[in-house]
Amino acid sequence: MTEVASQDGKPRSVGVAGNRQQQFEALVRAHSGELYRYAYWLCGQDALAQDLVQETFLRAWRSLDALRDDIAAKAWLATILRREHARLYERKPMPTTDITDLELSDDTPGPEHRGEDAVLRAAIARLEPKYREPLVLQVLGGFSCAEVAAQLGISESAVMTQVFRARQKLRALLDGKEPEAELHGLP
Amino acid sequence: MDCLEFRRLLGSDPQVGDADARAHMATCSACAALAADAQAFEARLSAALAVPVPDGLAERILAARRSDVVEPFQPRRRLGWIALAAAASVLLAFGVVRYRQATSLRAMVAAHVTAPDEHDALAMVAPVPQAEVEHAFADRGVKLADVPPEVAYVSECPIGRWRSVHMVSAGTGGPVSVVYIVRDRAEKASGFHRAGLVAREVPMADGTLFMLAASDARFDALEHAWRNAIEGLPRVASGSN
Repeated sequence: MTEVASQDGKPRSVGVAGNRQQQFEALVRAHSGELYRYAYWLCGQDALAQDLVQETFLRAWRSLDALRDDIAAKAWLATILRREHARLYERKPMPTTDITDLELSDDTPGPEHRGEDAVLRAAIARLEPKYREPLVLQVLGGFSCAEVAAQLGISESAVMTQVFRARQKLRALLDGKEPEAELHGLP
Repeated sequence: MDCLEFRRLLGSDPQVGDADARAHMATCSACAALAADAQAFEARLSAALAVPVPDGLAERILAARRSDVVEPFQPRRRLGWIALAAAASVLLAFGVVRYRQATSLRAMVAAHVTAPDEHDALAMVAPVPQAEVEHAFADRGVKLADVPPEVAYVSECPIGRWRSVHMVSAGTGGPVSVVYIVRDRAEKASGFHRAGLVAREVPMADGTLFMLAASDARFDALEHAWRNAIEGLPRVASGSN
Protein backbone atom coordinates (compact mmCIF):
# COMPACT_ATOMS: atom_id res chain seq x y z
CA MET A 1 0.00 0.00 0.00
CA THR A 2 1.14 3.50 -0.72
CA GLU A 3 2.07 5.69 2.16
CA VAL A 4 0.89 9.23 2.43
CA ALA A 5 3.66 11.41 1.07
CA SER A 6 4.41 15.07 1.11
CA GLN A 7 5.33 17.01 -1.99
CA ASP A 8 8.98 16.10 -1.54
CA GLY A 9 8.01 12.47 -1.65
CA LYS A 10 8.98 11.75 1.94
CA PRO A 11 6.50 10.26 4.39
CA ARG A 12 5.00 12.85 6.62
CA SER A 13 3.19 12.71 9.87
CA VAL A 14 -0.37 13.40 8.80
CA GLY A 15 -1.51 13.17 12.39
CA VAL A 16 -0.08 16.58 13.12
CA ALA A 17 0.22 18.19 9.71
CA GLY A 18 -2.60 19.89 7.93
CA ASN A 19 -6.17 19.99 9.04
CA ARG A 20 -8.47 17.11 9.63
CA GLN A 21 -10.11 17.19 6.22
CA GLN A 22 -6.80 17.29 4.39
CA GLN A 23 -5.53 14.43 6.48
CA PHE A 24 -8.62 12.40 5.70
CA GLU A 25 -8.45 13.14 2.00
CA ALA A 26 -4.80 12.14 1.88
CA LEU A 27 -5.62 8.86 3.61
CA VAL A 28 -8.46 8.12 1.21
CA ARG A 29 -6.37 8.83 -1.84
CA ALA A 30 -3.40 6.87 -0.56
CA HIS A 31 -5.17 3.79 0.75
CA SER A 32 -8.62 3.37 -0.80
CA GLY A 33 -7.36 1.31 -3.73
CA GLU A 34 -5.46 -1.22 -1.68
CA LEU A 35 -8.22 -1.37 0.90
CA TYR A 36 -10.71 -2.11 -1.87
CA ARG A 37 -8.57 -5.00 -3.03
CA TYR A 38 -8.27 -6.32 0.50
CA ALA A 39 -12.03 -5.98 0.96
CA TYR A 40 -12.66 -7.66 -2.35
CA TRP A 41 -10.65 -10.71 -1.37
CA LEU A 42 -12.42 -10.79 1.98
CA CYS A 43 -15.97 -10.76 0.65
CA GLY A 44 -15.74 -11.61 -3.04
CA GLN A 45 -18.28 -8.99 -4.11
CA ASP A 46 -17.43 -5.79 -5.91
CA ALA A 47 -20.30 -3.69 -4.54
CA LEU A 48 -19.91 -4.96 -1.00
CA ALA A 49 -16.17 -4.41 -1.15
CA GLN A 50 -16.77 -0.79 -2.13
CA ASP A 51 -19.18 -0.40 0.74
CA LEU A 52 -16.75 -1.94 3.17
CA VAL A 53 -14.09 0.53 2.11
CA GLN A 54 -16.52 3.40 2.41
CA GLU A 55 -17.65 2.29 5.86
CA THR A 56 -14.04 1.86 6.87
CA PHE A 57 -13.19 5.42 5.97
CA LEU A 58 -16.33 6.80 7.59
CA ARG A 59 -15.32 5.09 10.80
CA ALA A 60 -11.75 6.24 10.34
CA TRP A 61 -12.99 9.81 10.02
CA ARG A 62 -14.66 9.62 13.38
CA SER A 63 -11.52 8.26 15.01
CA LEU A 64 -8.98 10.22 13.07
CA ASP A 65 -7.53 11.85 16.15
CA ALA A 66 -6.38 8.41 17.28
CA LEU A 67 -4.07 8.14 14.29
CA ARG A 68 -0.70 9.56 15.23
CA ASP A 69 1.36 8.82 12.16
CA ASP A 70 0.78 7.63 8.64
CA ILE A 71 3.15 4.70 9.05
CA ALA A 72 0.48 3.08 11.20
CA ALA A 73 -2.37 4.13 8.92
CA LYS A 74 -2.30 1.10 6.68
CA ALA A 75 -2.55 -1.41 9.51
CA TRP A 76 -5.09 0.76 11.31
CA LEU A 77 -7.36 0.98 8.28
CA ALA A 78 -6.99 -2.72 7.54
CA THR A 79 -8.03 -3.51 11.10
CA ILE A 80 -11.10 -1.29 10.83
CA LEU A 81 -12.02 -2.95 7.57
CA ARG A 82 -11.63 -6.45 9.00
CA ARG A 83 -13.89 -5.56 11.90
CA GLU A 84 -16.46 -3.98 9.64
CA HIS A 85 -16.47 -7.06 7.44
CA ALA A 86 -16.86 -9.30 10.48
CA ARG A 87 -19.72 -7.15 11.74
CA LEU A 88 -21.59 -7.30 8.44
CA TYR A 89 -20.79 -10.97 8.13
CA GLU A 90 -22.49 -11.58 11.48
CA ARG A 91 -25.64 -9.98 10.19
CA LYS A 92 -25.59 -11.38 6.72
CA PRO A 93 -23.54 -14.51 6.32
CA MET A 94 -22.04 -14.35 2.88
CA PRO A 95 -22.17 -17.69 1.16
CA THR A 96 -18.72 -18.92 0.30
CA THR A 97 -20.07 -19.74 -3.13
CA ASP A 98 -20.07 -16.02 -3.89
CA ILE A 99 -16.34 -16.12 -4.11
CA THR A 100 -15.77 -19.69 -5.10
CA ASP A 101 -18.18 -19.82 -8.02
CA LEU A 102 -16.49 -17.12 -9.99
CA GLU A 103 -17.02 -18.87 -13.27
CA LEU A 104 -20.77 -18.57 -12.87
CA SER A 105 -20.73 -14.88 -13.68
CA ASP A 106 -21.48 -14.23 -17.28
CA ASP A 107 -22.23 -10.91 -18.88
CA THR A 108 -21.34 -8.78 -15.90
CA PRO A 109 -17.87 -9.90 -14.98
CA GLY A 110 -16.44 -8.71 -11.69
CA PRO A 111 -12.90 -7.58 -11.08
CA GLU A 112 -11.75 -11.18 -10.79
CA HIS A 113 -12.55 -11.68 -14.45
CA ARG A 114 -10.86 -8.59 -15.76
CA GLY A 115 -7.22 -8.29 -16.62
CA GLU A 116 -4.73 -11.06 -16.77
CA ASP A 117 -4.47 -14.33 -14.94
CA ALA A 118 -8.14 -14.94 -14.20
CA VAL A 119 -7.24 -18.55 -13.57
CA LEU A 120 -4.96 -17.65 -10.70
CA ARG A 121 -7.60 -15.30 -9.31
CA ALA A 122 -10.16 -18.05 -9.39
CA ALA A 123 -7.71 -20.28 -7.54
CA ILE A 124 -7.12 -17.59 -4.92
CA ALA A 125 -10.85 -17.24 -4.50
CA ARG A 126 -11.14 -20.95 -3.86
CA LEU A 127 -8.74 -20.80 -0.95
CA GLU A 128 -10.28 -21.08 2.46
CA PRO A 129 -10.40 -17.69 4.19
CA LYS A 130 -7.89 -18.80 6.82
CA TYR A 131 -5.33 -19.21 4.04
CA ARG A 132 -6.46 -16.42 1.75
CA GLU A 133 -6.56 -13.60 4.27
CA PRO A 134 -2.99 -13.82 5.60
CA LEU A 135 -1.73 -14.30 2.07
CA VAL A 136 -3.54 -11.18 0.89
CA LEU A 137 -2.23 -9.17 3.82
CA GLN A 138 1.31 -10.35 3.15
CA VAL A 139 1.42 -10.05 -0.63
CA LEU A 140 -0.99 -7.20 -1.24
CA GLY A 141 -0.54 -5.28 1.98
CA GLY A 142 3.18 -5.84 2.25
CA PHE A 143 2.91 -6.82 5.89
CA SER A 144 5.50 -9.11 7.46
CA CYS A 145 4.40 -12.38 9.02
CA ALA A 146 4.75 -10.76 12.45
CA GLU A 147 2.54 -7.86 11.38
CA VAL A 148 -0.03 -10.17 9.85
CA ALA A 149 -0.01 -12.15 13.08
CA ALA A 150 -0.71 -8.98 15.04
CA GLN A 151 -3.55 -8.08 12.68
CA LEU A 152 -5.19 -11.46 12.86
CA GLY A 153 -4.52 -12.13 16.51
CA ILE A 154 -2.69 -15.37 15.88
CA SER A 155 0.93 -16.45 16.30
CA GLU A 156 3.63 -15.64 13.80
CA SER A 157 4.36 -19.31 13.31
CA ALA A 158 0.70 -19.90 12.48
CA VAL A 159 0.84 -17.16 9.86
CA MET A 160 3.99 -18.65 8.37
CA THR A 161 2.28 -22.02 8.14
CA GLN A 162 -0.87 -20.55 6.60
CA VAL A 163 0.85 -18.52 3.92
CA PHE A 164 3.11 -21.48 3.15
CA ARG A 165 0.11 -23.74 2.72
CA ALA A 166 -1.76 -21.06 0.80
CA ARG A 167 0.98 -20.98 -1.81
CA GLN A 168 1.14 -24.75 -1.79
CA LYS A 169 -2.58 -25.00 -2.45
CA LEU A 170 -2.50 -22.37 -5.18
CA ARG A 171 0.26 -24.21 -6.99
CA ALA A 172 -1.64 -27.43 -6.66
CA LEU A 173 -4.87 -25.88 -7.91
CA LEU A 174 -3.10 -24.38 -10.89
CA ASP A 175 -1.44 -27.70 -11.66
CA GLY A 176 -4.72 -29.54 -11.32
CA LYS A 177 -3.40 -31.57 -8.40
CA GLU A 178 -4.78 -32.11 -4.97
CA PRO A 179 -3.88 -29.22 -2.69
CA GLU A 180 -2.09 -31.63 -0.40
CA ALA A 181 0.46 -32.28 -3.11
CA GLU A 182 3.90 -31.58 -1.82
CA LEU A 183 5.93 -28.71 -3.07
CA HIS A 184 9.67 -28.72 -3.22
CA GLY A 185 9.66 -32.11 -1.55
CA LEU A 186 8.37 -30.71 1.73
CA PRO A 187 5.42 -31.91 3.76
CA MET B 1 20.62 -23.04 7.39
CA ASP B 2 19.93 -26.33 5.61
CA CYS B 3 17.76 -27.00 2.56
CA LEU B 4 14.72 -27.92 4.64
CA GLU B 5 14.85 -24.70 6.65
CA PHE B 6 15.44 -22.68 3.50
CA ARG B 7 12.49 -24.17 1.68
CA ARG B 8 10.19 -23.66 4.61
CA LEU B 9 11.23 -20.04 4.74
CA LEU B 10 10.82 -19.73 1.00
CA GLY B 11 7.26 -20.99 1.22
CA SER B 12 6.27 -18.45 3.84
CA ASP B 13 8.24 -15.50 2.47
CA PRO B 14 9.61 -15.89 -1.06
CA GLN B 15 11.40 -12.55 -0.87
CA VAL B 16 14.17 -14.25 1.13
CA GLY B 17 15.43 -11.20 2.95
CA ASP B 18 17.09 -13.26 5.65
CA ALA B 19 20.91 -13.17 5.56
CA ASP B 20 21.26 -16.85 6.43
CA ALA B 21 18.86 -17.74 3.63
CA ARG B 22 20.82 -15.69 1.15
CA ALA B 23 24.02 -17.35 2.26
CA HIS B 24 22.45 -20.77 1.76
CA MET B 25 21.16 -19.82 -1.64
CA ALA B 26 24.65 -18.79 -2.70
CA THR B 27 25.95 -22.27 -1.96
CA CYS B 28 23.02 -24.43 -3.09
CA SER B 29 22.07 -24.25 -6.74
CA ALA B 30 18.93 -26.36 -6.25
CA CYS B 31 17.55 -24.00 -3.63
CA ALA B 32 18.60 -20.99 -5.70
CA ALA B 33 16.59 -22.36 -8.61
CA LEU B 34 13.60 -22.94 -6.36
CA ALA B 35 13.90 -19.39 -5.06
CA ALA B 36 13.88 -18.01 -8.59
CA ASP B 37 10.81 -20.05 -9.38
CA ALA B 38 9.09 -18.96 -6.16
CA GLN B 39 9.79 -15.32 -6.85
CA ALA B 40 8.41 -15.61 -10.36
CA PHE B 41 5.26 -17.14 -8.92
CA GLU B 42 5.14 -14.37 -6.34
CA ALA B 43 5.16 -11.72 -9.04
CA ARG B 44 2.29 -13.48 -10.76
CA LEU B 45 0.43 -13.80 -7.46
CA SER B 46 0.89 -10.14 -6.68
CA ALA B 47 -0.47 -9.15 -10.08
CA ALA B 48 -3.45 -11.47 -9.72
CA LEU B 49 -4.39 -10.08 -6.31
CA ALA B 50 -4.33 -6.54 -7.64
CA VAL B 51 -7.88 -6.58 -8.97
CA PRO B 52 -8.89 -3.38 -10.77
CA VAL B 53 -10.03 -0.63 -8.43
CA PRO B 54 -13.37 0.89 -9.47
CA ASP B 55 -13.06 4.26 -11.10
CA GLY B 56 -13.85 7.18 -8.84
CA LEU B 57 -13.79 5.17 -5.62
CA ALA B 58 -11.82 7.76 -3.66
CA GLU B 59 -14.08 10.57 -4.88
CA ARG B 60 -17.20 8.67 -3.86
CA ILE B 61 -15.78 8.05 -0.40
CA LEU B 62 -14.97 11.72 0.02
CA ALA B 63 -18.42 12.70 -1.24
CA ALA B 64 -20.02 10.21 1.11
CA ARG B 65 -18.23 11.67 4.09
CA ARG B 66 -19.38 15.14 3.17
CA SER B 67 -23.00 14.07 2.79
CA ASP B 68 -23.21 11.24 5.25
CA VAL B 69 -21.49 12.01 8.49
CA VAL B 70 -22.14 14.50 11.21
CA GLU B 71 -19.15 16.32 12.57
CA PRO B 72 -17.37 14.41 15.30
CA PHE B 73 -18.20 15.11 18.84
CA GLN B 74 -16.18 18.07 20.07
CA PRO B 75 -15.62 18.18 23.82
CA ARG B 76 -16.48 21.51 25.34
CA ARG B 77 -13.80 22.70 27.65
CA ARG B 78 -15.89 24.22 30.38
CA LEU B 79 -18.44 21.49 30.85
CA GLY B 80 -17.90 20.62 34.45
CA TRP B 81 -21.22 19.24 35.49
CA ILE B 82 -21.07 15.55 36.05
CA ALA B 83 -24.73 15.10 35.34
CA LEU B 84 -24.45 16.90 32.05
CA ALA B 85 -21.39 14.88 31.12
CA ALA B 86 -23.18 11.65 31.94
CA ALA B 87 -26.17 12.69 29.87
CA ALA B 88 -23.90 13.61 26.99
CA SER B 89 -22.21 10.23 27.22
CA VAL B 90 -25.53 8.44 27.03
CA LEU B 91 -26.62 10.53 24.08
CA LEU B 92 -23.31 10.05 22.36
CA ALA B 93 -23.40 6.31 22.90
CA PHE B 94 -26.92 6.19 21.55
CA GLY B 95 -25.89 8.32 18.62
CA VAL B 96 -22.95 6.09 17.79
CA VAL B 97 -25.09 2.97 17.98
CA ARG B 98 -27.73 4.60 15.83
CA TYR B 99 -25.10 5.81 13.38
CA ARG B 100 -23.60 2.35 13.09
CA GLN B 101 -26.99 0.80 12.49
CA ALA B 102 -27.83 3.40 9.86
CA THR B 103 -24.57 3.12 7.97
CA SER B 104 -24.56 -0.66 7.97
CA LEU B 105 -28.17 -0.73 6.78
CA ARG B 106 -27.29 1.60 3.93
CA ALA B 107 -24.36 -0.61 3.02
CA MET B 108 -26.44 -3.75 3.11
CA VAL B 109 -29.31 -2.30 1.10
CA ALA B 110 -26.87 -1.10 -1.56
CA ALA B 111 -25.06 -4.43 -1.58
CA HIS B 112 -28.37 -6.24 -1.91
CA VAL B 113 -29.76 -4.28 -4.85
CA THR B 114 -26.45 -4.46 -6.71
CA ALA B 115 -25.81 -8.15 -6.04
CA PRO B 116 -25.33 -10.22 -9.21
CA ASP B 117 -28.46 -12.25 -8.57
CA GLU B 118 -30.52 -9.06 -8.50
CA HIS B 119 -29.31 -7.72 -11.83
CA ASP B 120 -32.17 -9.27 -13.75
CA ALA B 121 -34.66 -7.31 -11.66
CA LEU B 122 -33.30 -4.03 -12.99
CA ALA B 123 -34.05 -5.08 -16.55
CA MET B 124 -37.74 -5.76 -15.89
CA VAL B 125 -40.18 -3.26 -17.32
CA ALA B 126 -43.58 -4.98 -17.36
CA PRO B 127 -45.62 -3.92 -14.33
CA VAL B 128 -46.35 -6.63 -11.79
CA PRO B 129 -49.99 -7.00 -10.70
CA GLN B 130 -50.93 -4.59 -7.94
CA ALA B 131 -52.10 -7.53 -5.86
CA GLU B 132 -48.57 -8.91 -5.74
CA VAL B 133 -47.23 -5.66 -4.38
CA GLU B 134 -50.04 -5.45 -1.83
CA HIS B 135 -49.41 -9.05 -0.83
CA ALA B 136 -45.68 -8.48 -0.32
CA PHE B 137 -46.35 -5.53 1.96
CA ALA B 138 -49.13 -7.35 3.76
CA ASP B 139 -46.72 -10.17 4.54
CA ARG B 140 -44.53 -7.57 6.18
CA GLY B 141 -47.48 -6.23 8.14
CA VAL B 142 -48.04 -3.13 6.06
CA LYS B 143 -51.39 -2.37 4.43
CA LEU B 144 -51.01 -0.16 1.40
CA ALA B 145 -53.51 2.58 0.64
CA ASP B 146 -52.48 2.52 -2.97
CA VAL B 147 -49.90 0.92 -5.26
CA PRO B 148 -47.71 3.32 -7.18
CA PRO B 149 -47.43 2.55 -10.88
CA GLU B 150 -44.44 1.13 -12.71
CA VAL B 151 -43.48 -1.49 -10.13
CA ALA B 152 -41.76 -4.03 -12.37
CA TYR B 153 -40.33 -6.28 -9.66
CA VAL B 154 -41.29 -7.06 -6.10
CA SER B 155 -39.78 -9.49 -3.63
CA GLU B 156 -39.83 -9.94 0.13
CA CYS B 157 -36.09 -9.95 0.57
CA PRO B 158 -34.37 -10.34 3.92
CA ILE B 159 -31.53 -7.86 4.19
CA GLY B 160 -29.40 -8.95 7.08
CA ARG B 161 -31.58 -8.83 10.17
CA TRP B 162 -34.00 -6.44 8.51
CA ARG B 163 -37.28 -7.37 6.82
CA SER B 164 -37.84 -5.60 3.56
CA VAL B 165 -39.87 -5.35 0.42
CA HIS B 166 -37.53 -4.93 -2.51
CA MET B 167 -38.95 -3.43 -5.68
CA VAL B 168 -37.77 -2.01 -8.96
CA SER B 169 -39.64 0.94 -10.38
CA ALA B 170 -39.30 1.04 -14.14
CA GLY B 171 -39.88 4.22 -16.05
CA THR B 172 -38.31 6.85 -18.20
CA GLY B 173 -34.98 7.88 -16.79
CA GLY B 174 -33.96 4.36 -15.86
CA PRO B 175 -34.89 1.89 -13.17
CA VAL B 176 -34.94 2.82 -9.51
CA SER B 177 -34.43 0.21 -6.82
CA VAL B 178 -36.94 0.86 -4.05
CA VAL B 179 -36.53 -0.95 -0.75
CA TYR B 180 -38.89 -0.54 2.16
CA ILE B 181 -37.41 -1.61 5.49
CA VAL B 182 -40.08 -2.53 7.99
CA ARG B 183 -39.94 -1.37 11.60
CA ASP B 184 -36.68 0.52 11.43
CA ARG B 185 -37.41 4.17 10.91
CA ALA B 186 -34.58 6.50 9.91
CA GLU B 187 -34.33 9.63 12.01
CA LYS B 188 -34.51 11.89 9.00
CA ALA B 189 -34.43 11.88 5.23
CA SER B 190 -30.96 12.02 3.75
CA GLY B 191 -29.08 11.34 0.58
CA PHE B 192 -25.96 9.27 0.23
CA HIS B 193 -23.82 7.47 -2.32
CA ARG B 194 -23.14 3.76 -2.37
CA ALA B 195 -21.72 1.33 -4.89
CA GLY B 196 -21.69 3.93 -7.62
CA LEU B 197 -25.34 4.81 -7.09
CA VAL B 198 -27.04 7.87 -5.75
CA ALA B 199 -29.42 6.99 -2.96
CA ARG B 200 -31.95 8.49 -0.60
CA GLU B 201 -33.43 7.15 2.61
CA VAL B 202 -36.73 8.51 3.87
CA PRO B 203 -38.48 7.74 7.16
CA MET B 204 -41.93 6.51 6.25
CA ALA B 205 -44.53 5.26 8.70
CA ASP B 206 -42.75 2.78 10.99
CA GLY B 207 -40.02 2.02 8.50
CA THR B 208 -37.61 3.51 6.01
CA LEU B 209 -37.90 3.78 2.26
CA PHE B 210 -34.65 3.53 0.30
CA MET B 211 -34.32 4.60 -3.33
CA LEU B 212 -31.17 3.84 -5.30
CA ALA B 213 -30.45 4.61 -8.94
CA ALA B 214 -27.95 6.05 -11.34
CA SER B 215 -29.76 9.38 -11.02
CA ASP B 216 -32.03 10.90 -8.40
CA ALA B 217 -34.30 12.45 -11.05
CA ARG B 218 -37.28 10.29 -10.09
CA PHE B 219 -36.73 10.26 -6.33
CA ASP B 220 -39.10 13.12 -5.47
CA ALA B 221 -41.99 11.63 -7.43
CA LEU B 222 -41.40 8.16 -6.04
CA GLU B 223 -41.09 9.42 -2.48
CA HIS B 224 -44.41 11.23 -2.85
CA ALA B 225 -46.13 8.20 -4.37
CA TRP B 226 -44.84 5.78 -1.76
CA ARG B 227 -45.65 8.11 1.11
CA ASN B 228 -49.23 8.22 -0.08
CA ALA B 229 -49.25 4.45 -0.44
CA ILE B 230 -47.66 3.59 2.89
CA GLU B 231 -48.90 6.36 5.14
CA GLY B 232 -52.33 6.67 3.65
CA LEU B 233 -53.88 4.02 5.92
CA PRO B 234 -53.14 2.44 9.29
CA ARG B 235 -50.14 0.33 8.61
CA VAL B 236 -48.89 -2.40 10.87
CA ALA B 237 -51.29 -5.17 11.57
CA SER B 238 -51.02 -7.15 14.75
CA GLY B 239 -49.45 -10.59 14.53
CA SER B 240 -47.60 -9.81 11.36
CA ASN B 241 -44.11 -11.11 10.66
